[in-house]
Amino acid sequence: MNENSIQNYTENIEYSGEDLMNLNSLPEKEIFLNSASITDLCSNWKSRVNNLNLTSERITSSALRYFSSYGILENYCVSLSTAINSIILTINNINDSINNSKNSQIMVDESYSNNKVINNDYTTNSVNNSYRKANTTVNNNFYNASINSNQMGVNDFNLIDYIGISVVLSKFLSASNSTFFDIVNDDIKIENVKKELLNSINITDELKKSLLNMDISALKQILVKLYSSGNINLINSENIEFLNSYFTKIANINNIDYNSLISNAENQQLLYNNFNYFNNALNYIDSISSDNVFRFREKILNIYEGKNIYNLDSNSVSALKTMIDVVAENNNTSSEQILNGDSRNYLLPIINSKEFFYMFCNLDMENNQKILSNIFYREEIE
Amino acid sequence: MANIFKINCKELYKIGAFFNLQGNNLKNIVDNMKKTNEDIKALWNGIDSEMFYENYNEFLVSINEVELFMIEKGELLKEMAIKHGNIDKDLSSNLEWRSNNDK
Repeated sequence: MNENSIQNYTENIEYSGEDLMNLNSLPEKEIFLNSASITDLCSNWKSRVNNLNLTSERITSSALRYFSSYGILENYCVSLSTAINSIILTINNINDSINNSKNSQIMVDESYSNNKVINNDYTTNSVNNSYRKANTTVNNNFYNASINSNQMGVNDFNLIDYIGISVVLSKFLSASNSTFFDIVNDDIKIENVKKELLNSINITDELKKSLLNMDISALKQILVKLYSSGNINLINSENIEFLNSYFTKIANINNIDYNSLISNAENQQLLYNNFNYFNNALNYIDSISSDNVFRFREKILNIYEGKNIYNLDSNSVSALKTMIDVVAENNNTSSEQILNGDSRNYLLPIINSKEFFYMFCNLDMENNQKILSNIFYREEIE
Repeated sequence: MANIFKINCKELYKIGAFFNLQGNNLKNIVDNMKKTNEDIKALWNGIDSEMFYENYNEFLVSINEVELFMIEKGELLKEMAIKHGNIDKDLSSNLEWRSNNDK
């Protein structure tokens, strides 16, 4: 499931009696809202939350500095700052999630409008037929049919293509500081994405052949569909840099040259194993991400000191230690500072790209190295 | 063509309930923080104490805005889900009544 998926926020709610009664009485049907009203709602929401200026700096530099003069503080300040930032992050994530769902729906609507395909298999919902035919979104069957009209369905992709597309889009986002929907809503950018995909060594020849004859509108549809379904996942430039530093460290630990680790055939197994240990460690961080700052710090510290390594094997424990060391170096601090301070704040940004990292788990050794090598060799040349 | 956004009305209700719950949780926390602030004021005298009390109170008021906002939006989403979720029901019971009478 997408990390910002709306369902992530609602699946563990303990409902009141009234809520349960209302939920039971509601039908399983979809309702329709105008996208303009959602845009207004989201921008109003974002602006109100941002205007409150509830940043941790504000807290620590105003009210709580009087606490600090009396030595009460550090943990209290950190936990309060984290709690407030977490609330703001959650509100903004839900806001983005609603906005992304809306934009995704807009793209599908536009595909309907552009293709002008007549199909009677509409969603059957709350609005009357004439309204539905004029404005409705289309269901997946129609969607797939329109993609197939360009000789390509979503199932025609394989994992290497998913990763290849994810890498190309991630580079675009980092370079232009845009969101996914900024890209797909802009025909010129989509045209450039197409060119990059055709030039990418991470895209299979089969996909390139299909891309050659694909129009921009069809490519948009496919990208939105792949993104919405979680088949392609993006990585931000900070985490690309982090992964780069991580493998540099792994190469150093194993006394080999960095480029040799990511490109020489004899190091495929080493790279593959280390990427799996990295993902195990990442998985563990993800599993404790909802712990409060103290509990999180205690667990990470225990692992680092080998007191309680939970269900992690020794290689994954080493990977976690290496991750902490790399985060420390990238933030110009020491591992001890991170372990004894707000380790949660330092480590959680990595899991923002967890879906991207997890895609590699299903690759074989050869492709794993090939793609990593392509990503990082190109980064070095640039 | 006007773009529209579709959402399952039960999911919409759940999002509303989530906001409402989070807003109320935040309210409880802020209430406790307000009480703590009063306790500190009662125990601690001096200029720093007053500055702290005022700054902290101002901060709590701004959190209060978030809490009210979340509760308010949560209620709005729940109401929207109930209202739109029942439109077809009302319409179909109305149609049923009409068709029975037409017979």
